[in-house]
Formats: sequence, C-alpha cells, structure tokens
Amino acid sequence: METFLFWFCGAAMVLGGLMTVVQRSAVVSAVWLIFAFVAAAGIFALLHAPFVAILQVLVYAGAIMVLFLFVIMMLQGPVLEGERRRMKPALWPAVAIPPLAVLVLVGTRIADHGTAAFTTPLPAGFGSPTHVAELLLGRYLLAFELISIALLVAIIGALAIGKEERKLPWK
Amino acid sequence: MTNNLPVGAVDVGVTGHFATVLVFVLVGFAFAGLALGVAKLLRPSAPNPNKLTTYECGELPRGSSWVRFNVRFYLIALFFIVFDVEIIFLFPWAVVFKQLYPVPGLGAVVFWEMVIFLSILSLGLAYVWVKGDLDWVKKLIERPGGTDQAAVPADEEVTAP
Amino acid sequence: MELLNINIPDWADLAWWLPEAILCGTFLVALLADLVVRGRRPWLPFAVSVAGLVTAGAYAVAALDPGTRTILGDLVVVDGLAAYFRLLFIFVGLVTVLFAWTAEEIMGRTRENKGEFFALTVLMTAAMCVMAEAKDLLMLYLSMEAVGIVSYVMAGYMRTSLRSTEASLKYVIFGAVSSAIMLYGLSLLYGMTGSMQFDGIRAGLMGGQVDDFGLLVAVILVIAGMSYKIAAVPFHYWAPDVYEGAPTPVSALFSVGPKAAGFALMIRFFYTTLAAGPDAAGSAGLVQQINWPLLIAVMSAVTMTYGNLVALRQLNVKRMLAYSSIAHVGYLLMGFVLLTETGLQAILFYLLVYALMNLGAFLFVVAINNHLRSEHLDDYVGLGFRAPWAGVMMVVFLASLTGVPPFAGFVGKWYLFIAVMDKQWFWLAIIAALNSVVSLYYYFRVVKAMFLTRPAEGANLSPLKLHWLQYVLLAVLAIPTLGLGLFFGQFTGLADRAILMMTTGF
Repeated sequence: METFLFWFCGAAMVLGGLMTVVQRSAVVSAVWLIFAFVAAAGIFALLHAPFVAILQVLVYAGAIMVLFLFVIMMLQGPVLEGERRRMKPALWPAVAIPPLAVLVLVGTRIADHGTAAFTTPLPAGFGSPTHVAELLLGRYLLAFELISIALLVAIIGALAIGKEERKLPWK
Repeated sequence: MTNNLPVGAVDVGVTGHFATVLVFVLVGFAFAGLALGVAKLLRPSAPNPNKLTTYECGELPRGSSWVRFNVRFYLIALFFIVFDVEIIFLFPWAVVFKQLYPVPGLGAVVFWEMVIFLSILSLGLAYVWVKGDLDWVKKLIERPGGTDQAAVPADEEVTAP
Repeated sequence: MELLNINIPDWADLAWWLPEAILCGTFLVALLADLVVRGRRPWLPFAVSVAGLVTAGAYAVAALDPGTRTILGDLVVVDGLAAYFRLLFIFVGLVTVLFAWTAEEIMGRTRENKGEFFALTVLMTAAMCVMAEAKDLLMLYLSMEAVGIVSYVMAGYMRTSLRSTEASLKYVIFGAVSSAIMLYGLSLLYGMTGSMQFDGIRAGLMGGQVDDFGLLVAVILVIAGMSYKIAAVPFHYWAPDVYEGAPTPVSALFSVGPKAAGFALMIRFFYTTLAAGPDAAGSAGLVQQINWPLLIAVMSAVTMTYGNLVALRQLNVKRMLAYSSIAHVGYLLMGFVLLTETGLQAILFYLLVYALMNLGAFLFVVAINNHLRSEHLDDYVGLGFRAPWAGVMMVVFLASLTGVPPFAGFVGKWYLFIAVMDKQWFWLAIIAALNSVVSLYYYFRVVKAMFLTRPAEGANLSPLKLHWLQYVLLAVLAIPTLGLGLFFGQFTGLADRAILMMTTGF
C-alpha cells in the first residue's frame, strides 16, 4: 500500500512539475504548481513527517501560491505579453542534461543496490509536532531565534524593495 | 540534565491518522466527480458563445479581464506569509508547553524563548505599521529631496512610473 | 509513551558568543531607533550601529583565545578559526558602515531607508560570523541564507536605479538556484549518515556503510553551492553584474565579507567532515573516486585566469575590481588545494590582506564617485593631482592587489605560493605567477590614468575635497597594507594560531 501511494504521489508530483513548466499561461502554471505541492505533501506524509506535510499544504500550497498569483496578476498584460519568447533550442540540452544525468545516475544506482545506502533508520516518534518541538526548544534553540531575525529581514527587504513608487516630485 | 517526560504518542504511519486524511481526499474527489458526472448525464447540451463570456452584473463585458493588480496586494500577501510561518512555529511549541512549563529550569527557557521569538517578529509588524504599509489609502509623503531637480543623481535612470 | 529529551542549555557558554549576540541586539535596536525617529535622523541608527560594532569588536578581541567552545546545543562552535574570522568581519562591517556614512549613493538627499542600511550591515556582520562558526548542516544553511537575504536587499538599495534593481534580481535568482543545489547535496549527506553535525557526518562516513557514489554526488553539489558564495568559476556569473549594480560601499562589503565567510565555511566543513586527515588527499579525501586536489587546482587556475583576462578589457573601474576579485578567489583557492595547515594559514592571512586592500580600492571608488558620479576610467584622468593623498593611497592598494613587494599583497601571495610548491604543484604556482603579471597591466592602467595621462584641454582640474572621514579610513586601510608587507610576523602568527587551534581542537 505504501509503495503504491509513493508511486502515485511521485507520479502526480512529476506531472504537476512538467505541466507547470510547459503551460503558456502563467496562471494555469501556478495552479499546476499547487497540484505538485499537494503531491509533495503526500510524499512527506509517507516519509513519516506529518508536520512537514501539513506545513507544505498550509504554507506552500496555500500562502505562497496566493503570493504567486498576486505577482502574476501584477505583471500580466503589460509585462508578460511582450516577452513571450522561446528559449534557443541550442540551449535546451545545456539546461536539461545536468539534472537528467544526476537523475539517471542516482536512479540506476538505486536500481542496482536498493535504497538502503541512502537511508538510515528513523528514531521513534520522528516527525510528529512533539518531536519538532523537542528539537526547536532543545538542540536548535539558537537556530530558532536566528529564524525570527531572518524573517524580520525578509519583511524589511520586501518593504524596501517592493514598496510602490511614491510620486516623485521631479517627475 | 535530561528530563524524561511522557508525551502522548502520535501515530504517524499511513495506516494511522493519515489514512483518515487519505479517505477524506478520495471522498472529496469522488463527490466532485460524481456531482459533475451525473449533471453531465442529466442536463441538456446547448452550447452558445454567450455562455462563455465574462459575467459582469448583466452588463456587456468591456476590455480584458486581466487587470494589473496593485503592488499593495503583493506586499500584504508577503507579510501574511511571514506571519503564517510564525504561527507554524508557534504550533509545536504550544503542543509541549503545558508539559514543559512546570519543569524547574526548563519552564522559563521555553517561555522566554517564544517571547523573544515573538518580540523580534512584532518589531517587523511595528515596522510595517510605522512605514504606513498597512494603510490602504495612502497619503502622499513629502520626500526629503523636495522639488529640487538637481537632487537626482546623474548616474542613474529613474524607472518609469 | 515517548519521552521528551530536552536539556537545559548551559547559559555560561553564551559568554563566548557575546559578539554575535551584541550584533543581533544592535540590529534590533538600530531598527527600533530608526522607527522611533521615523527615518528622519539617520545619524541615530548610524551611531547605534557604530557603537554596537565597536563593542562587539572589543569583546571579539578579548575572546581571541577561546579554546574550543560549543554554544547552546552544539550548533555553533567558537574556536580559533571563528575568533579570527569574526574579528575580520567586525572590522569589515565597521569600515563599511563608516564609509557608507560619507557616500552619496547611500546618504544622498533623495535616498530612502538610510537607517535600515546601517542596521542591515550590522546584521550581515553577525550572520557572517555565524557562517564561520556553524558546525551543523542546519546552521550552515541558515547562516548562508541570512547573509543571502541581507545581500539581496542591500544590492537593491538604490530603488530608483535600474542597474541596482537588476543586480538585486540577478542575485536573488542565482542565489535561489545555488541554494537549491546545495540543499540537495546536504540532504543526501544527512540521508546517508543520519546526522546533521559535522563530526556526526564524519563518524558516519568513517563507519563505511555509505554509498560511495551517492557521497560523490552530494559532495559535488555542496562544492557547487559554496563556490557560488565565493564566486569561483564556473559559478561566478552573478558577481560582476551585482558588484557593478549595487551601491559601491555595498560592493566593497560583498567583495570581501561573504567571500571570506564562504572560505571560513568551506575550511570548517571540508576539514572537519570530509578530509581524510592532514596532508592525505586534499579537501574531500574520504570520497575517493576523484582526484580532489586536481579538481580544486584546475578550478583555482581557471578562476584566476578568467578573472584576470576579462578584467583586462574593463574600462569601468568598479567592474574591473569585480573581475579582479574573482581572480583573487582563484589565488585563494590555491591554499585550499591540499588542505594542509600551511595552505589554510595562507588563506587566512591572505583574506586579511585582501580585505584591507580590496576595501581600500573600492572605497576610493566611492570617494571619487561622490564627486564625479562616474566610475569610468576616462574620468579618472588627472585624479592623482586633483586628490593627491587619496590617489597615492589608491596606488598603494592597487600595487598590493598586484602583489608587488614590499606591500602586504606580496607577502600574502608568497605564503599561498609556498603552500602549493611545498607539495610540488609547480604548474599551479607558475600559472598564478603569470596571472599576477597580467593583473599588473590592468591595475596600473588605473595608476597611469590618474598620474601619467595628460588631461584633455579644458578638462576640469579643480582639486577634489574628500570628506575627512574618508581620508582617515583610507589611511587606516593603507597603512597596514604597507606595514603588513614589512612587519607581517605578528599577523601570520595570528593566522597560524587560529588554524592550529582548529586542527588540534576537533
């Protein structure tokens, strides 16, 4: 059952990713991206990380996609329509070959040797909110506080760069 | 010092709580599919180009439905994400807080850790507030440069409005 | 029933982490101060930032001999290496803040967000210190991202300038891609060894249960991500555009700070997790399929050659300095080839020298830009007579960047050359020497423009009056650039001690 679900979610995620890239309309791309994110959440759940799975749906499929859609709506029309150009075919292999090579190499390796070499056994209770809390409040205390500062910088940065153009007096 | 505290065990397998979620998702898809499928079978099919036009309160639609959104929507969405992430971090903390608070030495740590975390982020909220980005209707702010033409440095192009 | 396993942290450790704590606090206070005065009195956040940096610097000097201390649960370690680097970063941060105060590009009347600029510089300093201290994959990534986010904001500081906005956007995109690549590598490492700690990963690798091939992929991905941070070829694409587009004080900081932090991180990561032991097989000796020293050596040679050859063609002094900083990464990588103690000491010393001379050169560009609004070589004609003192100091910086004796750059390069020649890597030393000759040409083209070229008829030759703080700072940078070339014993001693403490302490 778990194997079946894994392949199901994996296939859905690859499909979502592919459709995101090949769509002509940015909005449709964004919707396919949501599909890919939800499939990824399924894989997280299968990996015994329920907290991350929920987070993936809430933050990525929810909040971040709203942001993406706003950005698309902000740029649609005046910007995107003039810029519908295709990538030079000569560049395709340059972009596609490195990731594909890694994929094929890792894939054949796993097919030959199984996944045991890439995994280590999980501790009990791994991935539950309690376990996450244990790490956040214990070992990763310092990282936790640093995250709040990084988030603060993100707010400041968004404002400093993204703020709408004020009426400049010299225009 | 290690504290050995009992915790309610969370079943994280596919066969545990997530099976419920899976069933929920499947039922959701099935319900939507069933409703649309049955409707497809029952309804008369009479395609008409007018049915595909944008509905604008009965008016004939004019122009494109693509309008350019104000950058303010984007900024608000961005702040939302930041505070969304904050809530996410609050959640696991809340799960264990009751257990850890009475433990001598640890309770204060757990409490103040979150207080610091939240106060740093509230500084962000204060920042947004003071800078006036929570006001939907903007006041025109006097720039320190005034109307001095020479104030524009010669080396840079001013972006188009 | 599961058991929660949380230790009460040992707060006494925190005393060794005071500089970073002070810097983070300074960032918050400066931001708050700027909010209270509504951004109308930029001197207030400026004063707070300078005070914070000086205090943190004083503590960092006091804690120069920390032994090996892990802080609050094993995420960061303060040892000789960290103590050395954080002193360097605080110095760089302080010079940047002071110089930004005099720069039109930051403080001009039409600029916004002046207070934020100072606060962010302080935070960047703190994040770079953490990069040099991280001994856990999570902290490694988090500190790199913190430096990254601050950099994106600072690169886009001149919001009304297209060049600056473009620089910021490019930086964000390349930064995100390289982060993703590195994260993939880090997650593979974690998956294979089950540990986020550097020593835990090492233990996992020594255990021998790890798939060789997966490890190879992981290490290559991690090297790619880190090479982006230090802007080594072929991960250098972003550097020239970002350095050229960002405000010049910010470029000065970028070309020194994050680069040095990247090297600190690479040294700690490769030395404590992947090296098979001193002098054995270079940076990732535990991964045996590849000749690592050769890989790094080729990367080093290509980086320095590329940087120097492209710098030859630049007529914009700022862009020329950007390419020259890529070339210097190539020189620095020479010390990394074999991961010997000699090599690491040479890197540390060269980073100090490089910080002095490169900051100096960039800051001269800031000072001139204040008056001329240009960085073009043609506009530098006759500058040697319009601003003689600053001009002479610029010559000192450029000569030192070239590596001419008796300046500090020569001594620094000498140590790097020794590090590779010790192990019979003569071809690399020869390439580096040839490169230094090439660099002589473009550095001295600036000197020639300033002092030797006859200005055109009717050109403006009025003397330029620089801000007094600019003279002071240029002198503060120029005097050690000259002095370290003659009396370097003290400082190489410092670098030696830092490395020794790291290598024996782990």
